[in-house]
Amino acid sequence: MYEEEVKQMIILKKLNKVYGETASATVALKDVDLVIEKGKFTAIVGKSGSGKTTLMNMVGALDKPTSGSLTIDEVEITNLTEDLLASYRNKTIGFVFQSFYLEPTFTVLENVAMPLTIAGVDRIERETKAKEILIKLGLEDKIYKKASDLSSGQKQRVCIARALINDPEIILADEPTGNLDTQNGEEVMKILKEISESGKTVILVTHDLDDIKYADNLIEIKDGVVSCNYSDRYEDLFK
Amino acid sequence: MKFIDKLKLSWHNIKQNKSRSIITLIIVYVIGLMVMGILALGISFVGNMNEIQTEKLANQEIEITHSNAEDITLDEISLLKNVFEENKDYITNISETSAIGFGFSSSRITMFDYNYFNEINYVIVEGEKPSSAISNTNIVYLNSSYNQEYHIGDEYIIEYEGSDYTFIVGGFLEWNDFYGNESQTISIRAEYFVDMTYFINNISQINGFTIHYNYQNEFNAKECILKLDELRNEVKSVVPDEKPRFVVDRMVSTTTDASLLDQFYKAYIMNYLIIAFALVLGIILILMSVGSISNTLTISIDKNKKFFGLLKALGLKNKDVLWIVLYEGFFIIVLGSVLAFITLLMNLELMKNIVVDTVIVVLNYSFEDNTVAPSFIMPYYTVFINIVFFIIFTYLFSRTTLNGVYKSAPLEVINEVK
Repeated sequence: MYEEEVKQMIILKKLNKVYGETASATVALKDVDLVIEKGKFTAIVGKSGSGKTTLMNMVGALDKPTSGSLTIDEVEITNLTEDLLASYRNKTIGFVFQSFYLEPTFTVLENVAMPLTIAGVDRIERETKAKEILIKLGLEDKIYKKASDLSSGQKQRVCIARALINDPEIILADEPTGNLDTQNGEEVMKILKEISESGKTVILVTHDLDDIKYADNLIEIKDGVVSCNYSDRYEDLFK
Repeated sequence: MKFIDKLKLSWHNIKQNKSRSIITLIIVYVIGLMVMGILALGISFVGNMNEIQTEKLANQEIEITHSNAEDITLDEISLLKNVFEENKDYITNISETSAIGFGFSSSRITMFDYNYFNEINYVIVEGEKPSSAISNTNIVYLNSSYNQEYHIGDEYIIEYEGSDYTFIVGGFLEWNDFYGNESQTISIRAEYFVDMTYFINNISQINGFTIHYNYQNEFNAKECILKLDELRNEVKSVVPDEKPRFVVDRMVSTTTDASLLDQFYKAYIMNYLIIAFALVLGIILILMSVGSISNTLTISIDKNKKFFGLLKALGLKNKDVLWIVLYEGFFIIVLGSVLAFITLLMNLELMKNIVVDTVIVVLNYSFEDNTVAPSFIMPYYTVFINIVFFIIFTYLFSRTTLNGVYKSAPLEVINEVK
């Protein structure tokens, strides 16, 4: 019933992820059934080790589920080959990492343009596009700086610029404010909100309750199980 | 991902791993020097050996003997003459011989004798110089050793398989060498000796001939050997070896003092052995250093694991990861090999001296006393051979090493570094 009412982007059915084997195995996700709506800002919260990052990694095709089904935009991700998964990551997903993962010896421009470089786009085209995004994010004076020369807040904005450059449908942000001070954290969250409002599906993994006020939907994970799913209803709870 | 971008990322990795890359570059350079040096020395030694062998062969006469005891017809003789004419550049002399019957087999009659390069003069010891007028008769000129037994005008009867064949003795002759200028000399042409038509029609026993084959200095020995084979085959095609009447096992063959020819063939095989030895040695050396390149790539992979993990997270395919790492190795290989090649080019004189000394010792050859000029060849393709082998082995070694990054999920790679 619910699936018919909303525009679905991501559907997880009986999704399991187990690390290790037999006796020493750790269950990270257990029979997760979930629908994430298209164009919405969804926050996934939970304590450390609850499985929220694992869930995000599954959606981002950074990790493979042990069993279950994961459909993104009507495509069953679990059946894709390694190459198709790489293509999927490149074209459909934009990653924003807590630790930024910028190459320190590259310039900001090179870092931002990297997904386009991987996609085989011409240098001029990718640099033009990267510059446009960097200007939008207020980093025009940092374009030719080395990534290592930036502050944490700037690094995270570069990371967001890199996530946006391929114009992906889904932005996955894993604790994007985790390494930032409050002010920078706020700025990053505002940017993510703007991205969501532009029609992108944003999935935020966080344990910071300050961050979730920007989200449309809220999912709580506890011990690998979806314990609460406050889709469109959380505002009443947090405001 | 575009080729040029992969190259840039490889270069980035090299810079990240500078000291190890320089050590590997030095190893590739030294091994390249040795591999290309050994190959060039081998090729140059073989080149000198070929020249020397050619020179030796050029001084020797080689015979092709055909003796199948089967009748050779007039048509066949006519065809053979054409073959000889066509190959006269290589042939110094052709002697047509025939063992005509058992009674005469001890002294072969020269049926015709083409001398292309030197006039072979015979001396008429007794009798008159034959003229064209007598060339169509059954006159035979006998060796002077018969002059006690026969006289000019006598009938000379050859008994063969129960039949008698009659010739008129026209004279006696000998090689000019033995008799100086005592008497008339003639240049030998078959027609002057025997009426071949009569002879063949009646005796049908022209069953052997010898081609004196001589290498000329200006000819390449290898080319001459090919020509020799061609000639032998042509002779064979005109006068087949089938159904030999007397001797079953004697066919068209090189029956000369062709020990030199054999030597040449041996040298020919030796050429390949030397080159093969140089290649094998080169491959062993390359294999030894590939370990170092592979090690460098492993270190590079370890050092850049996080970077590769990130690239994979951003959509880089496994095969592109592989190529980025391999290009890193290839870059070191190409640079090291080219530097080694340039170094060798700058030391050609030293290399030449090594070859010359080896030739003198191994082939017991004196360049001063002979016409062959010592040479050293540094073929450009040695650098390509070096690079290709290095690349192939590095590729094979590195695929295994790369599996860690290649197969694992991007996040595992990132987390491993975390």
